[in-house]
Amino acid sequence: MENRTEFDLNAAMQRWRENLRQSPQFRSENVQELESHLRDAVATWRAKGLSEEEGFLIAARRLGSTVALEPEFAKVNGKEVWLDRVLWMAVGVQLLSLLSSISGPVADAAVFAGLKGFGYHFRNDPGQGLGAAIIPGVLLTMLRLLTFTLAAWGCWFVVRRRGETLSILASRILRRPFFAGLAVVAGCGILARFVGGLSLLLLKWIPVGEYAELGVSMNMASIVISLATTLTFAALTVFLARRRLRLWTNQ
Amino acid sequence: MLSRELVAASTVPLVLSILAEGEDYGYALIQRVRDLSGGKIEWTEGMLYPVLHWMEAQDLIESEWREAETGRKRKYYRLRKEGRKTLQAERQQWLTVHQTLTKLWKTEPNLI
Repeated sequence: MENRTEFDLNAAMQRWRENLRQSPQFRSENVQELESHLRDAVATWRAKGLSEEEGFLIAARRLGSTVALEPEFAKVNGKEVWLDRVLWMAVGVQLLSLLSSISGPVADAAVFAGLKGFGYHFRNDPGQGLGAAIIPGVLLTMLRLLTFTLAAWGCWFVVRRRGETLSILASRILRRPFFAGLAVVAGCGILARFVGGLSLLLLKWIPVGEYAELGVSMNMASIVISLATTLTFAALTVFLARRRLRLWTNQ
Repeated sequence: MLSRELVAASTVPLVLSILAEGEDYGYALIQRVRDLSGGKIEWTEGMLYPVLHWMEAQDLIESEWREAETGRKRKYYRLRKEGRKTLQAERQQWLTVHQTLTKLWKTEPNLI
């Protein structure tokens, strides 16, 4: 057992704290109090002749797992839990509108440029109306959904891979005065709207008549996409609610 | 071993009764209950803290972070006026249950 690394109580405590801090149910004062308890318990086991490592393992087990403690602490820290939920809702809503306001124009420009490249002619003919709008409409729908999915997947990927860096960055920004944080978050939103507005530049290359026809396709795409979004979110809501219900009834 | 329901119901009167003897911190409260019950009342230790915080929110007890003789900080809990009143009420209720059960269990063998 010579080459076994020595147990470091402080490092073990640190890991245990980090684990607890992942859950919004625990306020930082709760973590401090539980740590004080753990250290007292380890000292008791030490006095009974156990090693620090053994003492820590038993003490942590007797204290209860994070999963077991979470619901109990959630009952008294309801405000914190709700704060966390509303925060994630706000982040989600902004991210969603950010992604859709960027992916829309990108898809529009790509479809228009692509169709033009293949020699497609947008006609300024009211009689053609809806019929002629179907091909660009279908293409727009598909490409908008694709770019949105790719962008969403990209965000997910970045958060999974670089989540820690992101949260450090976020906490650095948020420690500054309120208006500095507001400037950064609102700035990102406004920038995205600006990128979205760039689709108006299409007007520079497209005669107004053709743009009007493309507009019919865009509307078709919007209708299909909002239908798809509504269905997706409805499905997600029902799925989550059913899961939650199962968790409740199991208790 | 006590049932889960009974553990949950008895936590508040136990805490109030121990704190009536003087202030104490969470870990010591748990040790005290374990010793007094001869190990028969076993809490999932972390579960005590949300109860303490709830009791504090109800003004039954109050708390204070203080440095202990070990040099580390501990959170001490103390009984408040409202807590003493609640303790009296709890005492009456538990004694009623206890007396009723005792009478029943003492007389039951004679009935047969």
